[in-house]
Amino acid sequence: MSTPTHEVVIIGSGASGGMVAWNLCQRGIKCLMLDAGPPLDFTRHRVPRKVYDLPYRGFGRPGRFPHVTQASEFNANLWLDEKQNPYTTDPADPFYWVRVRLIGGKTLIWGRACWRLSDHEFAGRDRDGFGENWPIRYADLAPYYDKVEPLFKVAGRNEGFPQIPDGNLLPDSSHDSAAVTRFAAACKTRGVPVTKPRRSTGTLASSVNLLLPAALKTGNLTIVPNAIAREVTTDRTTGLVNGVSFVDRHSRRDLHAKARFVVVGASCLESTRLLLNSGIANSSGVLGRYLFDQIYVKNVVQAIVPDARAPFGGSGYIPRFRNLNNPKEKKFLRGYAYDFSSGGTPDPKYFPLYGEALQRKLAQVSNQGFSMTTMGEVLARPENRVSIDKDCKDAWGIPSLRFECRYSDNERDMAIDSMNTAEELCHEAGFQVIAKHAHFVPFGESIHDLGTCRMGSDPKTSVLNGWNQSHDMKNLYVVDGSSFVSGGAQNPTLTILALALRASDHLAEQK
Amino acid sequence: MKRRDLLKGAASLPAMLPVIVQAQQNPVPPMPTAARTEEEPRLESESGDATADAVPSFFTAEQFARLRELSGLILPRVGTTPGALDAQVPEFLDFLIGRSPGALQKLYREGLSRPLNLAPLGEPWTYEGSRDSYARFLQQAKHDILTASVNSREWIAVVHQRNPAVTGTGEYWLPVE
Repeated sequence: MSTPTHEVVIIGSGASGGMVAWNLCQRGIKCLMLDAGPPLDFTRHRVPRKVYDLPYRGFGRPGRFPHVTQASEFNANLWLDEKQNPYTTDPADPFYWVRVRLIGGKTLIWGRACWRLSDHEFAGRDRDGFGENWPIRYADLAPYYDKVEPLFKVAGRNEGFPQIPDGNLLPDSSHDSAAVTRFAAACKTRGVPVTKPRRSTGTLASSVNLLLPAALKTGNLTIVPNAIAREVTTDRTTGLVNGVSFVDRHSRRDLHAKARFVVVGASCLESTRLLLNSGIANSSGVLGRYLFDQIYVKNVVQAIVPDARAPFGGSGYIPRFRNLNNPKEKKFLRGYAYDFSSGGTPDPKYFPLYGEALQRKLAQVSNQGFSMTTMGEVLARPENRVSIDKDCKDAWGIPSLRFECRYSDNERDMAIDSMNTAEELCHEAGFQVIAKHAHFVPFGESIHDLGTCRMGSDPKTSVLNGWNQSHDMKNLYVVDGSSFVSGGAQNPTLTILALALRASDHLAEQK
Repeated sequence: MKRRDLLKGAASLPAMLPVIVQAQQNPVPPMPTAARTEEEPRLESESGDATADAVPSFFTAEQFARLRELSGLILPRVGTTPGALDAQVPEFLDFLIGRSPGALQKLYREGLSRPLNLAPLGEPWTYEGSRDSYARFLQQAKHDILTASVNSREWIAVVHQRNPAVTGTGEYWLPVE
């Protein structure tokens, strides 16, 4: 007997897929959720261990994750195995494709920073002439940000900065250390905005505890783990999608789920790979193009706070301040933000010492560390792209991606400006800068890959309309970060959640 | 101090250190009954590393002797704080580098084939690193020797006695089927 046609098949259980299930199931719509990975059992899979009892004393198995710098020996088993899931790049232009295949996806390990985008992003072209505007404006998404922030228990401070609009936040009444207060005062002297971090709070802040339980409780959600989507299938008569072919991760058995609607939320690059492999949603020819992320200059400055006093610690955030009122203020377009943190002891590598002299120095600067990290906007360019490499298949025989992407002078100039400005701010605060640099991490390492199924008003130049709906097939939605037109310097997850919630409202109205 | 003496120090610590386990989302399984625990006991065990000597096999005798000398210089024993040699770092790095990608093995083998000269460690840090491969070897070795030391059983046992918050315990994720 054939299985019935599902109302909605959702591919992916992370931020975007989870958000769609949360909304549709509570609105009474039955959903089948396919995820390529297994569920985590927090009781069975997580155990306390001593670092010296790990096989590699905390270093991790050498060579296991050449492109996942975030993997530690403690959490190595949470990251996707690169040997089973290969991809190709030009060796001169590496891409670090960082993936998690578990129910909940990357919301199990994300950094939790939650900043809204603004019309500096949604209408970026109107301001400086580069690229395209989004087909939506901040006002379209604001009501959805308002709903998502309480759901994710986002705490922070509303400061009225137009580039990171105020949110529906839990109050952050944390006290600042003397070092942070000093640094904030120096920023104000220089006209640089500064605020506290804005983060999703709670022991766990994931799709698996904040989204999926409510959806399951309705009885309308069925989750199928270990289901690796191979192809979104099409009815040639109607020209619409009609289901999803997937392979069981363990048995490698091929299966097909019939669907009235398909929602793809498998992460930016996996969703793009799936659509490219399916040969759909690409009448524009831009599917896979306009790949961008954010440049990260980790520890762009490392400084010492010479007379740091307890209580130590504390951190903050500097939103974009370049090219805001005058979009051509600098020789680069757009801008960057900083995270900063104080306290702790700087890495021994910064001190040209060894032996007892090094130990004495580390004791002397204990709790005096101060560091900043740059997060900068990357311009969306059509030549930065992914395509299918037919000769590179994963362990289930599914063709994988080839990456062609590189940063431009705009990102390099931005990084240099951020280094010099960070140093000036530290000097203004009276901190001693012991190291600085302007080298960003490789493309992809920020895990903020975006843009390869971009939305737009014109079906000739975009994959999705302003509702995350395929221009070509009205019963296909792509709800993850691949839909972004530009990304600013803000961490994208909050916007992905808001877009997915908005898209699923739209889908519900189509039924 | 011999390694065995350090381990005696560690053995004087409570057998089960308090471990903070984050709130769990999944229901906690019912506690096993006394009878069941008896029939399906959890046996205590110890790692091989804590009970037996490492057998170095990657570096030549000359390279290994130089690695020992370098380790002692990078992190000497200071007072009661163990140094890299107390923490069996040369033996561990022989194992770790022996399993590492070829480029790192080459850096170490070539670096340890030259007479020790730690002067390049006095050069200021740069992101790019030195153009000189020997200086790069020293920076890498400094990082590895320090990390292997502070992550060692010997180091953590001593630091824990001074600061009970330091236990070396982390949440380890088992392979997920």
